[in-house]
Order: sequence, then C-alpha cells, then structure tokens
Amino acid sequence: MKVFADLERGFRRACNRRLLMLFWLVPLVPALVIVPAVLAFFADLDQAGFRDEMERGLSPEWLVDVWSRSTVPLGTISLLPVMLVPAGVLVQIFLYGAVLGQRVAGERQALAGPYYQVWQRRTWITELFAHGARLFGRFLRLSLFGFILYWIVFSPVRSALTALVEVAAGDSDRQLAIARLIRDGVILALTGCVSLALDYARIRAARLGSRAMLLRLFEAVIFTGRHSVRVFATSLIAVLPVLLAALALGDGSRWLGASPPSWLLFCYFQAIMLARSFSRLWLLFTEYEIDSDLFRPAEWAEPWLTASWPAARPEVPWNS
Amino acid sequence: MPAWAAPLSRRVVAYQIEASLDVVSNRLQATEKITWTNPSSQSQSSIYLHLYWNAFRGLETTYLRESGGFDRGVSFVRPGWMRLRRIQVDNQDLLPLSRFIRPDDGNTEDDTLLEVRLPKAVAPGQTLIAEIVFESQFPGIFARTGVAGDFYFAGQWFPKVAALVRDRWNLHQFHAASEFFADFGQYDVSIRLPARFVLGATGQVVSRSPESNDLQRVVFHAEDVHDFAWTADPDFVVVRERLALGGFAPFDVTLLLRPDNARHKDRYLFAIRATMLRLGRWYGPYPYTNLTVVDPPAGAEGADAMEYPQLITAGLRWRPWDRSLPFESILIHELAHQYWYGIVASNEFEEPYLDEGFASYSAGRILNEVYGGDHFGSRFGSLSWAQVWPAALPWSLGSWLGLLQEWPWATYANARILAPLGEVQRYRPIATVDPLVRFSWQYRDLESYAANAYSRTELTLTTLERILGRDIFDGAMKAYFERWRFDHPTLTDFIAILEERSGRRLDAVFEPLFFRAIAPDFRIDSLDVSAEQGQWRSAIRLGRTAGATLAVDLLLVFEDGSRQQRRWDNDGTTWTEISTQTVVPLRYAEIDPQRVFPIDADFSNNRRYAQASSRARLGWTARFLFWTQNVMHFWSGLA
Repeated sequence: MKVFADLERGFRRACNRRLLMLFWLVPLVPALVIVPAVLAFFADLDQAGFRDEMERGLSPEWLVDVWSRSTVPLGTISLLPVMLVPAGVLVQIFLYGAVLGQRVAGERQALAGPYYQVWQRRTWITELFAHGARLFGRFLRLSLFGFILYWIVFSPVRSALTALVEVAAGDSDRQLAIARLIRDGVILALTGCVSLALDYARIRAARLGSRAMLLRLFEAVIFTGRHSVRVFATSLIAVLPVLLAALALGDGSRWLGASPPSWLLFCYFQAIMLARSFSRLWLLFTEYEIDSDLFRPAEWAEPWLTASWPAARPEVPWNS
Repeated sequence: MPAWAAPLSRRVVAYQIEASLDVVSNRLQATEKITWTNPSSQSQSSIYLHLYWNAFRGLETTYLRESGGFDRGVSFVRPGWMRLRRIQVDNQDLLPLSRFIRPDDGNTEDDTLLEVRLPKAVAPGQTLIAEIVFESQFPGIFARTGVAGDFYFAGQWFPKVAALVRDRWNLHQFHAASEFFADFGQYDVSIRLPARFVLGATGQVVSRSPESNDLQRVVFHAEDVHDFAWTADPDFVVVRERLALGGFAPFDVTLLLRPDNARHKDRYLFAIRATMLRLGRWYGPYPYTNLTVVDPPAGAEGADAMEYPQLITAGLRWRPWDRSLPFESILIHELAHQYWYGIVASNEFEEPYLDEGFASYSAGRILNEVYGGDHFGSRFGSLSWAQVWPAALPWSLGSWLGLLQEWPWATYANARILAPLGEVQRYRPIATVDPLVRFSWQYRDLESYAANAYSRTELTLTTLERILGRDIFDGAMKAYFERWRFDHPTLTDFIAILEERSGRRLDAVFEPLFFRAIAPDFRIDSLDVSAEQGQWRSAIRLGRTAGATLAVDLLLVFEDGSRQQRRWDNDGTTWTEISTQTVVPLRYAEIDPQRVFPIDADFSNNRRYAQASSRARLGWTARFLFWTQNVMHFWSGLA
C-alpha cells in the first residue's frame, strides 16, 4: 500500500497547473523550430496531387514520390526531430533542476517553518529558474555518466546477450525469436534501471546539495536495488497516463473524423503531450516522496530543523 | 526413369554424378561423366566449365570483390571451392591442357570459368564424353549455397558445361549480380551421405538404399532441366501432396519444412496451389512431375529465396502475420521462376530482367489476385509494408494497433494502392542511372541491378499490359511461353511476339522503357482558371519527359463533380496547352488518371488543383510538430 500512498502524494504535487504548463510549454519552444521548414516542405500540397488524400491521412503514393524526389529530401525533414533531441535533453535537465530545487526548498521550508520564510524573497518563477540554473551543471554531469551506463547496456551487454541468444536458439526461428524477445526485454529492463537510477541520483543530489554526482549515482543504483518493488511499481503505474494517451492516440482518427481541421489536430496532439508531461511530473514527485520517506539527509539534522522529528539525531562531525 | 516418352527439350548435355558427402569436413568427393552434344553449326575445339564455388575461395574473387563479402543481408563467413583432379577424354587427362579464363574483368584471382582444350574438335551434332573427378568444399551458407549446422544446400556444386547457344559460347565469370545460364539436359545424380539426413533435389528419387556405417545412397533423375540442386537436413519435416490443378497433369509437391514451420504447411500449400493454377492457366501447364519447396532453418538465411529447376527455397521466418505476405511474396516469386527461368530459360548473365522481372510481374499479379490489394510484401526503406501498414494487420488486436496510424511511416495509410509501390520506390532512384537492358554485372551497382532486373521490369511489363490491354498482353505472354519453352529466348524474341500479337510497331514504347536511362514523367505544369463573360476559362499546360512522349489521357474534374476526358497523342512534343470554357469552374486536372504508366517517375505532379488549400499542409505540420515533441520527450526522459 506504500506504493499507492507514494503515488497519491506524488499525484497531489503534480497537480500543479503552473508546473504542468512549464513542463509542456518549455520543451515545445525548441520543437517549434521545425514549423517553418515543415510548412515549406508540404507547400506542394496546397495545389498539387494527393492533396485530398493527404487531408484524409497519409498517401503512400505521395510518400514514395517525395522519397524519390531528391530536391526535397524527406530524410532531412525526418531527421529534424532527431537534431532537436540535444535541445530537448538540455531543456529537460534544466527543468529537472528547477522543479527538484524548488521541491527541496519546499521541504526545508516545511521543516523550518518561519525561519526559512525569512530568506524566501524571490517570486515563484525566479526561484524556479534560479534552482534550474544552480543544478544544471551537476545534472548535466550526471546525464553524461548516465550516457556511459546506457552505452554499456547497449553495446557490450547487448553484444554479449546477442551471442548468448544465437547459441541458445540453435537453428530454430521460433526459439531465436523468443530468445531475442527475452534479450530485448532484459535490455529494456536495464534501460529502465539506468533511467530510474538517474532520477533518484538527481533527487538525492538536490536534497543533499551535493556536487559528487558519481557518488550519488552509485548510491541511487544501490537504493533502487534495495527498494526495487516500490521503485519499479510506482514508475510503472506513473506511466499509465502515457499508455492512456497512446490508446487515445490510436483511437483519435476515429474520434476526429476522416478529415479533421488542422486546429483540432493541433489541440488533440497537444492534449496528448500534456498527458505525457503530467506523467513525467507525477513520476518525478512520486520518486521524491519515496526518497524523502526512506532517506533523511544528515545535513538537515540541525536542532532547529528537526525539532519535530522524533528520530534520534544522527552523529555528524560538527555536532561533537 | 524417364518421365516423358519424348524429350521436351533439346538435350545438349547429360550428367552422371556420383558424390559422397563428408559431414565432418563438409566436403564432397565426386565423379562426373558429361555427355555433351555439340548443338552449334561449327566444330568446337574447346569446351568450357563453370566452377562456381571457386567464387567463394577468397576475398579477391570477382564475386566477393563485387559483393564486398555481403549478399542479401548475409555476410561471407567460410570459404568454399571446387577442385578438379582429372578431366578424362578418350583416356587422356585434359587437366594440364586447361586454363582459367576471365573474359569479363581479367581478374587473375577468379577461377570460376575453365577452358578445356580438346585433343580433337567436336563436329556439329557429334558427342563428347568427359569424365571428371572433382572435390567441392561447401562454403558457409552464402549466396544461396553452402552449409549451416546440419543444413546443406548444394547449388552450382559440380563442374557445369557453359551454354553454347545460337552458335556462341556464353562465357562469363560468376558475378555478384548474376545468376546462371546453361543448356537443357538430363541428370542422374547419386549422393552418399549419413542415413539420418532427409534429402530433396531437382528431379525424382530413383532409389534410396542403405549402406554400411549408417550411410545411405540416394539416386535422383531429372530431365529437360538446365541445372541440378539438392539439399539435406536431418530435421526436415516432409509433407507430400499431389496437385491436380485445373485439369492439367498432376504433379507431386514435396515440402521440406523445419519442425517449427510444419504448422504452416497449409499456408505453403495454399500459395503453391493458387500460384501453379494461375501460371498454368495464363501460360501453360507445369510440365514436370515434381516440385520441391525447401524451408531453410534459422542461421541459413543465405539460402532463402532461390530458384532451381523443380526445387525452390522460400524462407518463412517465425510468426508471419496472417495478413502480411513477406513469405508468400518470396514463395510465389520463386514458383514463377519455374516458368521464367526453369522452362523459358533466358540468359541470366546477360538479360537478368527476362527471368527476374517476368517472375516479379507474374508474382505481383498473383499476389494481388489471390490475396487482395491490401496485402503487401514489398519493402519500403528498411521496413516491409506488411509490417508497417495497419491495414495489413489483424484488427482483432484492437485499438492498440491504431497506434501505428500515428507512426510516421504508417499514419493513416488508408489509400488504395494504384501501383506496386515497393517497386516504384526501388526503381525511381536508379531510373536515370542505367537503362533496363544491360548485362547483370554492368549495372552501376547491386542496387541498380536489383532495381532494374526486378522492379523496373515489373513496372515496365505492367505499363505494357495497360497500354496494350490485358487480353492482348496476356495472349502475348502465353505465346512467348509456348514458343520459347525449353529454349533460350532473348528480349528481341519477346518484343517480336508482342508486336506480332498487338499488330503494331512498338518502338516508341520499347525505346524509352527498355533501352534508355530516362525516367518518364507525365505532369501538369500549370493550371489557371479565370472568369470570362459569365463562364470559366481553364488553361492547362501539360508536360512529359523528352524521349518518352507516349500518348496519355487527361482528366478534368469540375466543382460540380462532372468530368471530361482528353487525350494527348504521341506527337513527339514534350509540352502542350489545353484550354476549356465551362459554366462550372474546374476543380482539378489530372494526367494519366488510370495509372496506365506505373513507370511514371512522379505521380504527385500528375494532378493540379485550381484553388490552393492549406488544410493538408497545416494538418501535417501539426503532426510533424507532435512527432518532434515525442522524439524529444522520449530521449530527454532517458537523460
């Protein structure tokens, strides 16, 4: 039941309109870069063939035509979203810092009460961006360590598993397909582990104000391993909005009709992006709740901060 | 054990081969007796032997240089070769008098073609008997031959006499982009190997006898064929069925399936029945008594999708969707090769389109007719249409599959396919690179070879079918088959029959479609609609590619839904302007509305609307933006 309590607390934190708008709108800004290019790319459709078909959906014939016309490389347009990935990653790292920094401040404030309030002079948005800027460098380093972990998963680990799969499958296609599915499942699970470890490392680093990111990542790996049921169960449930959005996406063409107006399509797609953003925010706050439930930083064990805590004060050097 | 009272072909050569397989070294020890009758009008002082497996001897052979050690998705892993120990003619060993020749590229590392000088010339109609002792090492499965685990596939495994057709030796090395060409003949082949193996081969089993040390000897006989291939695997599940289709003489089908795929036997048999019935009706009955279909195991993908007389390989990989046909498209293509290669034995070295393109054309029609228009096995980029197209997937999986509709390459793929898109997509990039008519290894690269020999030819034949009308075209194909079965026709022979059946000269059609590296394009260059004295005046400028000024139709569609049809004749012009004056304004004009020319390089310029509308453009921009957000969201979630 702790899982549901965590999720419930995380949900309440995530139901913050300002944060949700932030999580949706800030990544939308770099994505808008592609709009002029795409409008130019599809300009032909205004008068030329397949317009009617393309209003109703994708015309494979149009796709083949565009593909084979070297003057307008479809590949380049398709690559644009990929080229924007680094921007998306940087924006996201910044947002993580902003949200977590503010959450930590909130937690401290709750502990410190009026003492903390004295220093809290900034507006919500300036405080948010200040936290983002303060933690950005650390979280970026953490992501680089994460990149190394992903590389290990997708290169040596995957190669070793592939070799194992081929030996195990023999000359049976069925066994080979099953073995490959298992391999991909293992890779997916490992990817999930790395992703969760990165989340918990960020949370721990923010709470401790730590700069030792490698150490935080190491701690987070151990933490997720020790509390794996709670950690994985909450993360799986928190992606439910994404799955629901995906289902809605699948059914969308039915709801919207054969040829929906472009404004309706835009709103529909953005509603789905809002659901995805909410899911991310929910997961992040749930993870924060789990971490704060299971771990209390020793640095916060000042007498004036822990007055209401019944637990014994941990021994720290400056207290002796 | 002859199957027919009279020969169906001119049997130029007879092979008697006794081979013994060592499954430890994967090596064949064999003796071969060749009885060759000079089919030409001139005496021959040499004969020529193809030693195809020497193409896999090392990385410097012509085949491996051209392929880069990579063939149809499979890497070259283990070498194979063929060594002759003796060539005896009239008690004389001719091996010392023999030399490798490299007529195509002079590559001294290539030993795939051997000239054997004869002590005495062979006069026209005279017979030569040569006894050869040879040894063949199986390569790791590659280029549709070799060994993988316990699975053996032996294609081109014996020294084979080159074809002497129309008084000309057809001498070419083994190239990455070429298959084979040989004279018709008779084969008596005895294979000795461990008793646990199940065998399949060209022809019929004459005897199967156990030998000492758990060995068996299986003897096959085949006649009126121009090649002999065999396969062996202890795990084959054998399914036999006698097919009597459409009143034609029955023949036996043997499926050699892997245990995994035995449950798909009905799917195999359905495709075979449907295909052979149609090929029989369209062109003529299958003339042999046997047909073996081989299902290569996992790890032997290099043996997938290959044709030999009376024996083909398919390649059913695990869990094929019921409504997607990557497997059937291969199987049907290879079955069509029984007609276009097996029976009508065109030159695969020099005119690869005559067998590959014709087989692709026949297979495309069969797929469409039997399985319907929403089934596709063609590839698009790195994906198969069947995999990405929601319409090809079972809807019982519910709305989850609706997800595919918003995936970039599958979004709302609900349009009726008017042309074989996979072929169009393969052909377009090479349209101006090579003309269709080339020797197989003279195309710019393997991509151009495949696109020309398979896709462009299929599109060209479909274009011819639509220009001439299906009845005339089908009649011509049937006549071509009947006149050239068990013989070696050329493109010229095909054109002659087509002109004869259509009763008209077709130079203007054949020149751009077969002999020139151009991409025919029919287009609407501009469309202006203006109001004049209470009426609407439309001016439409049409264009077509120089060199391909074929007659084409124009369709005018008006705002009230009414239609007008016009025709732009083949007058040699590359542009023209048409104007109309009507009460109702024109909605759009479309050139070639019936898609008579699937060979058209760009369909999107075939139609032009009078009024611009940004609705489709904005809708797709919204989608691209959404996909971009999703891509960014996904990756940033991992960071």
